[in-house]
Amino acid sequence: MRPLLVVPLVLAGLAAFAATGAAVSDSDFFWHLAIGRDIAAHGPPRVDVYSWTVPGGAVLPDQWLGELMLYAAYAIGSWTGTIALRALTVGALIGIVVWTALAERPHRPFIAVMASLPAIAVSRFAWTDRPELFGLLCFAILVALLRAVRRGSFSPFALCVPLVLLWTNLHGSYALGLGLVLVVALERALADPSRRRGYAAVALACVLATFVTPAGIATWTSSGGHFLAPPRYVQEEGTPDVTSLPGLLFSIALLATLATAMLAPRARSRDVLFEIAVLVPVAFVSLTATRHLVFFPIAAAPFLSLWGPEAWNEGVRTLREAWGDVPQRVLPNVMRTRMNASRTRGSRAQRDPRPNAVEGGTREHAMPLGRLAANLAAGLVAIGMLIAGIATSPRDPDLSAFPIAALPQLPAGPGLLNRYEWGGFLIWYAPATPVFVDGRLFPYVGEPLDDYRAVIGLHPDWRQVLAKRGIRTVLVAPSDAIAVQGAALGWPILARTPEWVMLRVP
Amino acid sequence: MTAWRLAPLYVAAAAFAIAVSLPGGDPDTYWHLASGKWMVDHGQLLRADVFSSTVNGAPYSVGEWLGELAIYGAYVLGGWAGIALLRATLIAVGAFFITRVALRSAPAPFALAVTALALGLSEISWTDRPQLFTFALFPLLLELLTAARAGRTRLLLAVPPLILVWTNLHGGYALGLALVAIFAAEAALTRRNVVPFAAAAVLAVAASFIDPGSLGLGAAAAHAASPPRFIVEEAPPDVLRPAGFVFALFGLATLGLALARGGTLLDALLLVPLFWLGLSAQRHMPYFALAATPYIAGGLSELWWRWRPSSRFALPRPAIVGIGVGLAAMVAASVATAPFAPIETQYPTAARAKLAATGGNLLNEYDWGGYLIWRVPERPVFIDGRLFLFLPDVLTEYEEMVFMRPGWRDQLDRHAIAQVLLRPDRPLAVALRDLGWTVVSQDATAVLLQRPSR
Repeated sequence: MRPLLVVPLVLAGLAAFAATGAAVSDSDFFWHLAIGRDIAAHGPPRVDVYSWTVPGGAVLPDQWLGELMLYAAYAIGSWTGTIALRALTVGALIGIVVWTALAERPHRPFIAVMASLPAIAVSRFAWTDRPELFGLLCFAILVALLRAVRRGSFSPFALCVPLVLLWTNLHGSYALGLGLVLVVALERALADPSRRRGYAAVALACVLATFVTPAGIATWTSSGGHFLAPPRYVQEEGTPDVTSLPGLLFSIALLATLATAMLAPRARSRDVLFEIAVLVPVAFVSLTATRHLVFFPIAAAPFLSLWGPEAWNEGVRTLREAWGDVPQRVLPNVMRTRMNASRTRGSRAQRDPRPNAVEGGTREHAMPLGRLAANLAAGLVAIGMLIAGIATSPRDPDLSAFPIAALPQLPAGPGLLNRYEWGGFLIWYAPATPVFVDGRLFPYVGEPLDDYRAVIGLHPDWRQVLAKRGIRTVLVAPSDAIAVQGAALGWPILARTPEWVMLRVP
Repeated sequence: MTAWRLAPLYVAAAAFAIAVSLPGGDPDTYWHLASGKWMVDHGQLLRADVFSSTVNGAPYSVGEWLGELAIYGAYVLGGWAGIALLRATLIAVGAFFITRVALRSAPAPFALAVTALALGLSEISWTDRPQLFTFALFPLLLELLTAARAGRTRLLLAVPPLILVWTNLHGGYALGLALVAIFAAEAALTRRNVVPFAAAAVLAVAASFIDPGSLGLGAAAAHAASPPRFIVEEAPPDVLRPAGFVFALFGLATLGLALARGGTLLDALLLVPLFWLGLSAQRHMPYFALAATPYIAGGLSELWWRWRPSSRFALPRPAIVGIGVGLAAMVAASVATAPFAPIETQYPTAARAKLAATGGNLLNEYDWGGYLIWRVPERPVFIDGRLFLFLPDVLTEYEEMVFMRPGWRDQLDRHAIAQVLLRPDRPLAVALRDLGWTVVSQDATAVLLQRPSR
C-alpha cells in the first residue's frame, strides 16, 4: 500500500518553517552569490576575478547551476528569496527522508519518524545557503529511488540518470551518488540477472552524465581530490567528532544501525547485499569529514524504519525466553503494556516479515478519495507553514560576524590581507577591494594559502611574505598573532572593534 | 592438541620481536619515570606536584602509581633495555590472549589474519606508559570472561583481583569494569550464570575502589566524553590516515557482517559501545578492534565456508616446527639488535646544557615537559603531559603566550618568565626576537630565548 503523505508533508512544512528562522549569514554564501551573478551575466566562470593573489587563475565551474539558482532566488526576492529557496529545499529534503522511511513501513508513521530523527537533526547543520544543500536533497532523492529499486521496481533506477546529470551541475557531492548507483547496479545485477543489461546501461549512462557539465572531466578530479585529501584546517572538513552534537547524532544512527543489524533476525533476507552496498560505503564517506556526517543517517533511516522494530522484538523475545513471565510480574504497568504490544507486533511480523515484500514489482492500489483528501490537506498545511515562515523570516542578512564597519575604509585595489572566512563577504560587499583569500579555498592551495598562514600566524618568514606580496593593510581578528604583533610594533590602527581590527602596514 | 593451538604463542612471539625493536622516546615516558623515581627515592606515594613552577604543590593523582613504579623498576633493572623488554612483554601478553579469544570464534587462518590487523592498528599505543598494562589486561580479561561464559565460571574468581591490580596500574581499568558489566548484563538478560557474573561484577567494582588515587569512574567517563582534542592521540580518528583507515575497516567489516549474518546479544552489547569509544578518540581505536576481532574472524570464516564448504586448513608438523624456530630466532635477533636508547631528536637536546646552567622561570613547549622533567630536573617546567594538573588556567595561559593572544605580555610578566624554550616557528618565538630577547641556543628543533636584562 502506498504510504500516506500526511506525516512527510507536515514534517516537511515544519522543517521549512524552521529553516526560515535564520537570517542569511553563511560566509561562503556571498561568493556563491557573486559567482551566480556573473554566471547570469557572462556564463560559467573560467578564471578568478575576485582575488589579487590568484587573479586570472583557473577556477572550476563545478557548482555553476547551484550558484545560478542561489542568485536567481536572490534576484527574484532579494534576501527573502534566498531564505525561501533554503526553506523549500530543506522542506523537500526532510519530506523525502521521512517518506522514504515510511515507504518501508507504511503503517507505522511513528517508527518512520523515529528512524528519521537522526537524519533530520544532523541535516540541521547543513541548512546553509550553499549548493551543498541541493546536493543533500539529491542524495535523499537517490536513496528514495534506490529503495524503490530494492522493492522490485526498475523504473526508479532509470530516473537516476537525470538525477545524476542535474546533481553533477549542482554540487560536487554527485560523486557519492554516482558511486552508490554503480554499487547498487552491481548488486541488482547479481540479485536480478534478468535485468542485468538494464542495470548496466543505467550505470553507464550515469557515468556519462557526469561529463555533461562545463567543468568537464575536471569535476572528477575536484571531487576525488576533495574527498581523499580534505583540508582539515577548515572546520567542516575536520575529522568527525562524536562528542559534538552533530557527531553524536551521527553516531546514534550508526550504532542503532549496527545494533539493529545484529539483533533483527530477518534483516538477513535476500536483500542483505543491497543494504551492505548502500550502508557500508556511505558510512565510510560519512566518517571522512564533519560535513559528510549527514549522509549516513539519511541512508540509514529507511533501514532503521524497516528493521528497528524487528530488533526490538527480538530483544524482548530473548528476555521473555530467559525470564518467562517474571518481567510481567516485576515491570511497571506501562512497560508491561508495551511488551505485550511488541509481542503482538512480533507475531504479526512473523507472518509478514518484509512489509513491502508483497508489493514488490506489482502495481500499487489506486488511492481512495479519503487518502487523497488527507494528503491534499497535509500539502496545504505544509505550503501554509512555508509561506508563514517566509513571511516572518528576517528581511536582512545577519552580518554581525563580519567586519561591516570596515567597509568604508577599505583601500581599493590590491594589498589587503583579509581573514579567510571574511573573503566571501568582501567579494560581495567590497567588490573594489580584491581579496587575499576566501572560502573557495582550492584556487589558493599552495603558495597563497601558505603565505596567508605565515602572516596571520606569525611564522618565521612573515616579514618576507609581507614584503614579497606587497601587503599594505591587514583586516584580521584582534586575537590573531599578526594583529597582536602589529600593535606591539606600533602599526597604525585604521579601525577596531572587539571582533576585528584593521591595521596599516608601515 | 592441534598444531594451531600453538598459534597464540607464535603471535605473542612475533609481537614481542616487533615491539622490542621499536625505539622509545614518548614524551610522557619521562615524567612517568620521574614520578616512579621520586616515589622510590622518598619511600612514599607522589601526592603533590614537584616538577613544575606553575602548580607546584598542587594535589597530584596517584591513580597510576603502580604502573609508574613498574616502569621505573624496569628502568632500574635494565636501563632503557629494561623498559623495552617490559613493553614487549606486555604487548606479547595482549597478543597472546587476543589470539586465544579469536581462536574461540574462528579457525586459525581467519583468527590470525584479523588478529594481526588489530595488533597492527594497536601499534599506535605501544608507548612506554602505564597504558601498556591496559593493552595487556584488556585481552586477558576478555579471554577470562569469554571462557567463563562458555562454562568455566570458576575463572570469574580471577576477575576482582585482576581489576584491583589494574586499577592501580592505569586509568584504563574503567574499560575492564565496562567489560565485566557487559558480560554480567548479558548473563542477566539471558538468565545464564547470573549469580557468578553478577558477583564478579560487584566485587570488581568494589576492588576498583582500593586505590590511593583519586581517578574514579566519573573522571574516566568525563575524559571519554570530552577528550582534550589538541593532543593528537585524543583527536577523533581520521579514516583517511593509515591507523584510522584500519579502524574504519574494522568498523565497516563489523557493520557489513552484522548485516550479512547478524550477531548475538553479547556482540551487540560489547561492540556497539566500544565502536563509539573508538570513534571518540584515536587512543581508543585499538580496543574496539581487539574486541571486534573474534566477531569479524568468525564472520569471515562463516562466509568462506558458505563459498568453499570443503576447505581444510592444516599445516604439516615440520612447518609448525619451522615457524616456531624462525620466531625464536626472530625474537633473539630483535633483542640483540634492538635500539634500546630512546630517539630524542624531537626534543631540545642542544639546549639542555644551557638550561642546566641557568635559572629563572622557564616557559617550555607542552610536548617537551616530560623530557625536561627527566633530563633537566633542576629546571621546573611550565607545563607537561600531565595535562589535568594544568587545566584550565595554566593551559589557557600557556596558549595565550605561545600563540600570542592579546594579554600575552602580561602573562609573561606575571609568571616572571626568564627563558622561553619553544619550536622556532611558534608566534611567540618569532615575536620575542623582534622585541630584543637573546637567542641562547637554536637548532632546527628548538630555540631558547633569554629575557633581556633591564
